[in-house]
Amino acid sequence: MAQQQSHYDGAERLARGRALLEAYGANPAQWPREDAPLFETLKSDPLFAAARAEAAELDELLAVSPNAAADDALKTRILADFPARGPARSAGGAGWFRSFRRLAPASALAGLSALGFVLGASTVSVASQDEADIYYAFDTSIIEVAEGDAFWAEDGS
Amino acid sequence: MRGSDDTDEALVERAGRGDRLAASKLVVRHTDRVFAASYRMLRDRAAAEDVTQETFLRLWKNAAKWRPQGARIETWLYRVAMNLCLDRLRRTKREAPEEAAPERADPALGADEAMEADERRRAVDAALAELPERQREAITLCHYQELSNIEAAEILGVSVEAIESLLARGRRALRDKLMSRRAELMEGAGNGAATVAL
Repeated sequence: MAQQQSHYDGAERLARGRALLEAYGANPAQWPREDAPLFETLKSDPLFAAARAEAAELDELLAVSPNAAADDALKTRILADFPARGPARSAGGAGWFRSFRRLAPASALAGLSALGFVLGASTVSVASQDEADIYYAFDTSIIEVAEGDAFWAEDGS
Repeated sequence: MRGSDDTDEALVERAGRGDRLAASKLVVRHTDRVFAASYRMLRDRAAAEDVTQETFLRLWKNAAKWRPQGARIETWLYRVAMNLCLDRLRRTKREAPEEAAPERADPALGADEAMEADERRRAVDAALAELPERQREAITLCHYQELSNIEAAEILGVSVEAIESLLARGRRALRDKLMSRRAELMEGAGNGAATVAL
């Protein structure tokens, strides 16, 4: 990066700095990584500071339109498109397990899985026994499972 | 930091083998960003949802064949989504819809504040919609999605220099459209809008 800077003399540095402001805005975190040192070199230059203030005004205007958020219904539809390649399960057995999961603490389920009491886990392509537990317990709310994956780790199950 | 079996590539490989949990993790991890970019391009929630859903459908269809080859999953998702957005825009020949569907209001705002925030957002969105498609894509990816110029260049299939040119031209056009209304648009926007620390 020091080599990059040495390619520019003073006027060229300022010109490049202004070009970066025009393209990427006032926040150096959004500049190309290799140009970040240039910001440190220029930030005390009054001409650069004036150009940066102008760029910041536009950044503030653009920020009044925040990113729209997807809702859970969309995520559910997307996952519903995922092809069902897994094995057919007994709806009754899995339903029982789902009901049990809602009532039982995670530690109890961990114990069950240690006993191998997970329906058809051996035929499901999952990375671990814990994930097999999750798969069968939350088939109808798999999105919640993925989002709450950390919960399981913290829970110690 | 993600474990080696929790990277996007590992999840796609597992999804390709029918692992529904891996698929759900990909959905949770990437839907919001793909949707946000699509909505920014189309300004229509239903259309953006369709594009997002179609993007993931293509991922599911190709998951079993995925080979990294240097491309990130996120890059691939954005590329597919942006192309689908352009297809829609060109099909409908709609650059700026007369009345974009209102976006959901921030529940933290009162009714008047929500309406004002919506008007400010519409003004900026309308200005963005008037940009040529490539400039709008570049600003969507680099400014709003905070992707690097290298990632955006890969997604759009152009050089880094071209991305920089698109961004500069797009921002100049937005400045021309919006700066005369800056005082009006920024009034009351202090709490909701992100600000750049100088």
